[in-house]
Amino acid sequence: MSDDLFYMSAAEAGRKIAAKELSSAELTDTLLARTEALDGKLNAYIRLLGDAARASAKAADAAMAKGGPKSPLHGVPVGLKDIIDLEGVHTTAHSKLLLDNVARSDAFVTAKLKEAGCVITGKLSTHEFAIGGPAFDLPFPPARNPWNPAHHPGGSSSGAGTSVAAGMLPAALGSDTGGSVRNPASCCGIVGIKPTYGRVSRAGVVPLSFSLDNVGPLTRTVEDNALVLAAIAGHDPRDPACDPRPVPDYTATLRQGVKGLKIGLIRHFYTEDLVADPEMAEGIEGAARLLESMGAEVREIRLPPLSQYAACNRVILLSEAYAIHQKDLQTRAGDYAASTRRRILPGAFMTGADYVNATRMREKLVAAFNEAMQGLDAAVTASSMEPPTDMSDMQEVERTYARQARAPFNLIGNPAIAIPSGFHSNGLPLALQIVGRAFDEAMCFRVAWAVERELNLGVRRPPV
Amino acid sequence: MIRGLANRDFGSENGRNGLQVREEVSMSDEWPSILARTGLEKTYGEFPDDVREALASALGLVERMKAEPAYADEPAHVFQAARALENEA
Repeated sequence: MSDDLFYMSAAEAGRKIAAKELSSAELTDTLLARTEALDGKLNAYIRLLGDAARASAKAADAAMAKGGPKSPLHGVPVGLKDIIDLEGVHTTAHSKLLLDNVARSDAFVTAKLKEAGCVITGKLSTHEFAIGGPAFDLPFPPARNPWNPAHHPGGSSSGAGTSVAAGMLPAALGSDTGGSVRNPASCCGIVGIKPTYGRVSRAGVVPLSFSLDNVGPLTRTVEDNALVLAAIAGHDPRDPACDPRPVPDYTATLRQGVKGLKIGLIRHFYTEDLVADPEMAEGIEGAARLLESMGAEVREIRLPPLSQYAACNRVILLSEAYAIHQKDLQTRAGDYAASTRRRILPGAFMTGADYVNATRMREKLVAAFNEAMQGLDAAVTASSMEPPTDMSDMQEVERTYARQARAPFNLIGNPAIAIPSGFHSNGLPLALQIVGRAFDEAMCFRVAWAVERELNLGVRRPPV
Repeated sequence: MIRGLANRDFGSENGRNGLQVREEVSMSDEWPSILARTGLEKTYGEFPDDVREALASALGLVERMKAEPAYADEPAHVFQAARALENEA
């Protein structure tokens, strides 16, 4: 039974808990024991809240017995990237600077998970302030990839990726400013969505870049991702960017298939602008052929060069991030990891005009995407250009880290989901990305679910 | 961008921000005033390479963005005077 519970989906666990075939306490105990056994090697957690999680699971079981399930995720354990506030618990952002920072209240998304009856198990490892990169000069060690612990798990939501892939949790929340949910999802062979900007509140989440930050779920299945996103989405007046439109039932259209859909293929991102590892590229091409074989019409589309999207994203991101970190980088720069310091400091040299011009450029790049998407339901492209590299080779980590096609969708604000597309000959996961129209996460999930079902990659487990 | 420092005499290869950029930037008479303006004198004293590379990286990013807006092109976020009132409502 334990082995089944490690990799049980959140949806199935929720169904079993609702049917009283499984208790939240049993599931939580089993996953905590697995975490205690594995996490000395994988470093997914900064702070495991075992006692609190067990108490919360018992309370979920009691509430279930009294009034039935609060949601399809009632009693399901979920972890939080350690930039997301949980009342009374430290939010460190994996940084020496915030070691004493105790959250006074729950983030909006934390409160939503609690309302759904979820059990919060603890705070998960991140790259420092969601930007630093895997680093060894921080108060906590970097998370490692369950498929090969010598390799990095992607980031910045690295602990979220590691814990879900390793069967410690069925779901976790991460954040995504230039790809930080989709990168660990891609590196760890799981599913991660960056919702439309404004779909999920950022209130109570340590900011990196106000106009690019998003909170999104990491799960092992597309259905679970849809359920968790539905649980955390919704209007929050505390986030001025949060959109008031109602949250649809993402599972309602999940199984409708792709027959008759029109899907764009942004091939030049991974064949011209950057040249992906051949096996990565073939995984994307194979998925495109698969979609065609299932009745979708796939046609190649062209956007402005990836480098333009990436640079525009970076000018905005670094200007906003530097505004947040300016005082600390002027007075205590040595308290940051070297990689964090180096990544944020360029923001010091952006002028007001640079920033404003980047936001003007952003409008043009949004318009270019919308024009290319005329008549299309979704688009497919790369997420990473190669599988994750060995963490002992930091130069290679740095070199490959920016070789990605995720940042464009933070810039344009549209939803984008990363899903597994296979395995590299070195045994590490391959991934692709599906992009939708603004606020059409349902279409991303629908296309992703169809690919997931055909590829059936979830049967393969990391060797932990 | 602090353009006066471009095309000078020390090199920095920086791929940290998504770009492989080689900019020639130097210690010059302008450098102390740049540091003073950015408030990074202390940081430069501790991590001079990081600060120099940051400048080169910033130069490269702005260049790579290729933003050539027309006069009337609006930025992505436009101030809305009534928004605060709407949120309160």
